[in-house]
Amino acid sequence: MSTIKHKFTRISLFITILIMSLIVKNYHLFAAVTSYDNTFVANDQYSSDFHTRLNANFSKSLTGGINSISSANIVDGTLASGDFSTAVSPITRTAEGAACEYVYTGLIPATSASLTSNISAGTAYPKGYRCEKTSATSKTYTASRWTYVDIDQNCDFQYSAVTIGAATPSVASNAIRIARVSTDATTINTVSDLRTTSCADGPFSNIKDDSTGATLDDLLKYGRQNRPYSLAGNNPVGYVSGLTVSWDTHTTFKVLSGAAYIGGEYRRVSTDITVTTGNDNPADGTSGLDTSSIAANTNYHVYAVADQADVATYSISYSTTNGTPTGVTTARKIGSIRTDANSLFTSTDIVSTHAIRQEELISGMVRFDGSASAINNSITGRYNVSLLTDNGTGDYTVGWNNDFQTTNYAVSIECDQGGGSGGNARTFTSGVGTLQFITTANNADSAADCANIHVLAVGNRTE
Amino acid sequence: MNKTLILIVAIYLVILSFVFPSFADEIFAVEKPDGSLAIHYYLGGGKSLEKTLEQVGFSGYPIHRITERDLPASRADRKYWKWSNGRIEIDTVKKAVDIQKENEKIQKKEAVLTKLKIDDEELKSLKYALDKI
Repeated sequence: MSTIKHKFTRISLFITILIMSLIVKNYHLFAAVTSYDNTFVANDQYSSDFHTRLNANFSKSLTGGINSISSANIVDGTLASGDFSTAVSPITRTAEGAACEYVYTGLIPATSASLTSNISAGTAYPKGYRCEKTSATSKTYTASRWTYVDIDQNCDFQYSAVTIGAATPSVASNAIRIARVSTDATTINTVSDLRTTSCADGPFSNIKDDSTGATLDDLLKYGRQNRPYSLAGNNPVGYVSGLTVSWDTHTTFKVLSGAAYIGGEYRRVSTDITVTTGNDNPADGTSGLDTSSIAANTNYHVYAVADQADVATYSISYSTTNGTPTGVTTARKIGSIRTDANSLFTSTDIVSTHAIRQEELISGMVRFDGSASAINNSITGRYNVSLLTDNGTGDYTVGWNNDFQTTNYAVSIECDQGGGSGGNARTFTSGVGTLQFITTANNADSAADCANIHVLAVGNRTE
Repeated sequence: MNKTLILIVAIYLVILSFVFPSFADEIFAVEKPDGSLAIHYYLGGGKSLEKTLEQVGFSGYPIHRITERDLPASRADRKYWKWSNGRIEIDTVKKAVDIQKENEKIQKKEAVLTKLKIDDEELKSLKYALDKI
């Protein structure tokens, strides 16, 4: 009886101590380390499985409590950065700019004199998972292939090898693209960096108006220019504004400021580029002739070049080669210019692939019946004409709305008397703002009204 | 249709003519120093009428704003149009002088044909042959 009493007393004492310890602990519970083994001392009298049952019951109680915990049970200000693992810590993710799927650092394959090289250590965020490779990863690539390298949300590299020049394979499941590794028979000769390395600066492929709309990258990358331009299959695509090729002097030409999509690069220049007859250096942004010296009576193809690294600008290279200039990797054809017999640039025959010069367009036109009483009512078409003057029989003047820069514009006037009768027309005087002409009957000298008059003028206007 | 309705429609049309501006071209008759007329049809645009007339070479000449109804229906006598009595008229005196000159020319020609005892076609052939010499 005494033994039972003692045992009861000790149990009561133990429970009292337990309750007190919980109070003293201020309700902070630590399920993973909670055990009451050490509460008992040697030679204590209690059931041999008491502490086992007590631990099991208490653990069950704690687990149930934790599983039913709600935000109401978490006291404000009690969760600190140290309570989160690095992979999910908002501080870490913000510091690493993880606002999109991208590569924070490293993870770029290296070229090699063999088919084996390392992919550098680094951190990436495929599908929002933080993947940190703390050491380099060795990889042996298939010879004479393009191998696309992706990293997935399990932090595993995925490889897709295709024939060189083949279509780009899809990105591996739950992965982002890292690079394209190109091999020949024995070496890794080229690594194309395909990493998205910034969320703040894009990428343009992530920007779209709605979930099913075209991305900004699509808008800039696709579409041909206003001038259908195809010379030996060279048909540049993608956004371009400005970059008009313009004659400057006999030894220089200009490419006007602008912005363009150049073979996957987005580049802009805010001031006109003056291009000389000197040689270019695409790597440092020097514009010029791609190779050798300027030649006589030669047509040169003009290119915007995006070979200089880590800049937003483009340089200009020109070449006799229609395709890619010598020594240039990333280029877009923007026009052509020609030299004369003295190897001097000529102001004529300049072409911009994406822009149309004023001389290539009709600058003014009008069609009317010169035999009508009120000739304004007989006008069936006009452009850049603000005035028609009936000077008398077969004598008319056109007033141009926007003047020509000089009087050296070209004019074509046709007089058709109608009913199978021909007629003639001749320019009487041409000023920058007016054109007076005379119409006659067929093979006659004296002026005569003309039933169908067509006037076309081509030249540089002031506006 | 009763008279009241006709009156209402007429008033409505008059009001419409004031409410909606006319976009008709502006027409001007300019008197040239030789008395003839140039008719300018100003079609509008960025260039002013004054600038346009200056470029055409009629700056400073008497100018009259007219409408299409002021233009003669036919251009047959276009070279005799003149400004008179506030409207475009045919210069009958000038026209008569020209007709007289033309008649005299025809008479002279017929006299030559009579003297040479040839007709008009033969005269043309003769003239062509003489031009070749």
